[in-house]
Amino acid sequence: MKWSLYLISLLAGSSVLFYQSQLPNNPPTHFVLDKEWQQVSKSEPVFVFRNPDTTIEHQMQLLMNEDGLPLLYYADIQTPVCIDGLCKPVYVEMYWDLLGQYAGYGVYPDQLLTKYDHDLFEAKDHLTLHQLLLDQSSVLGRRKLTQLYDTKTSRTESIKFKGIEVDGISGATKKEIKASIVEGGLYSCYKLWHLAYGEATEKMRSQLSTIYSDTLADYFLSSRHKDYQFYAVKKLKPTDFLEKIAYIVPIVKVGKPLTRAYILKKMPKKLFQNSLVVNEWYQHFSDFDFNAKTLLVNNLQYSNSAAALFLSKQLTNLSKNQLKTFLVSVDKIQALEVVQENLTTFSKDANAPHNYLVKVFLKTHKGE
Amino acid sequence: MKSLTLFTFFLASLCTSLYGQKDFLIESENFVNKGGWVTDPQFIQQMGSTYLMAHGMGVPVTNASTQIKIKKKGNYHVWARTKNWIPGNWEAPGQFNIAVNGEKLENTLGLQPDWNWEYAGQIKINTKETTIELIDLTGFNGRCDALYFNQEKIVPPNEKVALKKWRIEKSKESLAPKIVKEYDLVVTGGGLAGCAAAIAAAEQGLKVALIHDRPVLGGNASSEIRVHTLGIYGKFERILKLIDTEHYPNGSSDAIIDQQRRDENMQRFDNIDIHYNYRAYDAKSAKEVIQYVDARHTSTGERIRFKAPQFVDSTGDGWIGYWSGAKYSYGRESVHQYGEAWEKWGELWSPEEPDNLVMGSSILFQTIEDPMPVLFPEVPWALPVAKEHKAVAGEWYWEFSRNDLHQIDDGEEIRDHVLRAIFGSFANAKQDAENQFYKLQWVSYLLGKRESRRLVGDHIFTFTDVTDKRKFRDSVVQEIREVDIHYQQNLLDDSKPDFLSKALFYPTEKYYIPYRSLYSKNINNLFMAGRCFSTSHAGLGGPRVMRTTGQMGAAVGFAASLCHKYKVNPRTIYEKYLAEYMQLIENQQQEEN
Repeated sequence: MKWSLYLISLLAGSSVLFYQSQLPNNPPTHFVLDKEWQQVSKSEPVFVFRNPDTTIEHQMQLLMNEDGLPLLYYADIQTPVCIDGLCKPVYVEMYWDLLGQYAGYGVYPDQLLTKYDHDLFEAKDHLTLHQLLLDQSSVLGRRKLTQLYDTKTSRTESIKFKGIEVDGISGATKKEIKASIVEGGLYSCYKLWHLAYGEATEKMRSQLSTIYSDTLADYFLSSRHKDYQFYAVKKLKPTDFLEKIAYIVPIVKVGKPLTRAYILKKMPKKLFQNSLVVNEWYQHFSDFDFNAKTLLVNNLQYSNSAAALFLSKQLTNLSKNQLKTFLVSVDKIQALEVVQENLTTFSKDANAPHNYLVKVFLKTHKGE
Repeated sequence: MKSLTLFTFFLASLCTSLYGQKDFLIESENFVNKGGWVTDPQFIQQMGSTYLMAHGMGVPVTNASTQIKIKKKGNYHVWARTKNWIPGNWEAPGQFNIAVNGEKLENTLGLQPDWNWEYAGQIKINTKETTIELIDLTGFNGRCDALYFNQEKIVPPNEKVALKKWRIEKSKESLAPKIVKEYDLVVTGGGLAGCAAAIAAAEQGLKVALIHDRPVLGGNASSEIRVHTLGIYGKFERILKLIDTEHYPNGSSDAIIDQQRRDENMQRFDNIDIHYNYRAYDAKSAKEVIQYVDARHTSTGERIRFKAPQFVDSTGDGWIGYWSGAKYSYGRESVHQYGEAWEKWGELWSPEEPDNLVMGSSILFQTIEDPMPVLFPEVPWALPVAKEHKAVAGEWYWEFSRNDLHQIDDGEEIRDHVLRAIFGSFANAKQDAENQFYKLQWVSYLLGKRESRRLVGDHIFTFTDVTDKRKFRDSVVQEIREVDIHYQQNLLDDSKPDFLSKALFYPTEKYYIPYRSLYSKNINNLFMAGRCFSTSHAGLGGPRVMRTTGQMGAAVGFAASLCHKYKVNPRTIYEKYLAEYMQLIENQQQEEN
């Protein structure tokens, strides 16, 4: 049945199937978000997108929960994968998040994915494909299929050159490319990657600004999906930070390092005195990545003695430069009295490699 | 040849130096026989001196030694300026001893954090001819800046300014270099850009000084760093083919073949005075005109003052511009400053708020497989960096940048961090039986930097010059290679090692760099070529590769020849002689065809 539909759509320019709402037919087998697909109760056809290098178009559906909150994008894809002039259909139900990033896929039980030699995809092959589709910056995006042929078969011996790897294609070694693609499934991988990140992505991205609402903003800010957090934070104006501080504080704790850095750079300086910020960030300073730590230390000068006290108990987690900045800030916010005892302890800690900096600091502040 | 004679003379004179006072200072880089220790001048501006380092990749290196004559026999207290390069709860990795006349001094050195004087012990010296040795104990990058002998047990100063003054006193160094040399053009930095600048100017008849702080030319493309050259030749194929590399794998020993070819080609120019192993340490300007560049030999300490009407800064770090007061930038501009967004990659490409998170530095390494199993020492001090990562091969993406570290000011810490990444990852890999035959054949100790200071010119080249396909009246450099900007992988996923990067590639049609990005906006006789040219962070993403920087160098060399011809400064070439300049460049390609 699916095969005949495919033929019809191929021959008729595919318009017959469009602009009808459609829910997924099968649950996704590979998925990265929080099983949002389980909450889907309605859909809305939003746009069609082109299949690269063909005249075929696909219908994109916006999937929503019963309250109409957008959850996912979805397309039921039937595409020809052609090798040496011989084409065969591939059936995939593909999902994207609301940012237009690939989120997962499912297959029809009677139309499983196959490789070049008609062998079925094994579980590990599906995993490889899923990981590949998650990689937005895959080398597949920068190279023509013909430039990747040798990853399919025999030329991988040249990966090694006198015992070391060859940077065959700028930015990615052949070994990496080979590892990222299903062996014997290059053509399917290539086609699906370009479907996932082609015109569809651009259209989803531009559509997000039209469906973005206060409700969706709060949904994003409270989502566990880190890219949603980042998107929502980027939409905030600095003046919104105080109102949204209850969202922002946990995002810094669990978000991507990039999101943390963005927030710590953008947040109005006076908010570094906010008690939530002091208690949740400075108290748990050692849990953060290095770049976030630097930004927290750099912003101590805008915070208060309570934050300095928290930091002074965690000085072994500071790099030399961070420690220097910390000591300057202690002066700036006049927190010496509060932190002196901890500084003294640290200066005597034989296992603290930079304790000498604190020794010098205490020596120059003697009597204060 | 002349340089070599001079160098030999200095070595000979060192052998017979008389140390007659109650105290004397010996700079370790002056040691006549360096044994297996390497000379490291990379961090002079931060820690005060060239130093010797025992870069043995886990195998203790052979002793460095030197002979001195002392006038006053007797008891001496001995200090070494050194550091424990990875202080922590483990045995210091870079330990060494000092021996005087074969007698080892009491204390092991390399134990204190940060550069400082460590007390080695005391020794009775009964002979005039005295031999001093550095004995490496670990093979893991012990380092020694200088030795100080004193009969009165007075600890030398260590604070930066006081130490500098003290060194000058102890070495009886004059304020200014006694040797002064005059040229038509002084090029500082012998990477691809500096070499190309020297060639272009020399071909036009200028007498050129090329000052380079290493024994081989090529910078990042040299056999000491081993990055292959990328990019196109533009109008300068003939020149660049004299100095570029094959597309060997980064880190490959094939770099040595290109190295020999490059040095030989450069030495064929009679009117290029190559000053190998001279590191510039100052440049003075008066009324926005550079008067001279001072440089010091990294082993003998000999100093030379270089004078010329025009100077080229191809140091990479923009040192000549920095010293002479040229405007410069560092870090990532706000995306709004020049409109350099690539929406797809947002903050990773160009941030909303400016910051100092530039592209990082790399250290390449090479391994080989031996017929017999090879052991590698335990490296507990490396594991906090390497963590669980395993590797028997490196590549360009072994790259380190962090927002509390400055690529120049903290260069030594950055270099040491990547060494820990390499040694730790290799030690982890060696735990697997399949890697038992691997051994480290070569690990660079020189930082391959991508980005640091960028001097400001009349035009600041930006990513928008690429996206807008802007052509200039003074387009002298062209490139078709993708613009790629790197980010540290742990910015997206903090479970990733902090020393691995990823590249974002922006495919582009041909783009152009104008001549106005190759001379300083405010220092009137300063050209720049290489990664310190006038560009934004995102602008640097494309033209930082070495054939492109080589094009910059060649373009600058030809401009300098017209400056010489008309006795004018770089800006005037653009304002008054552009047609002639562009024709001169065009002629280069016609010659090739």
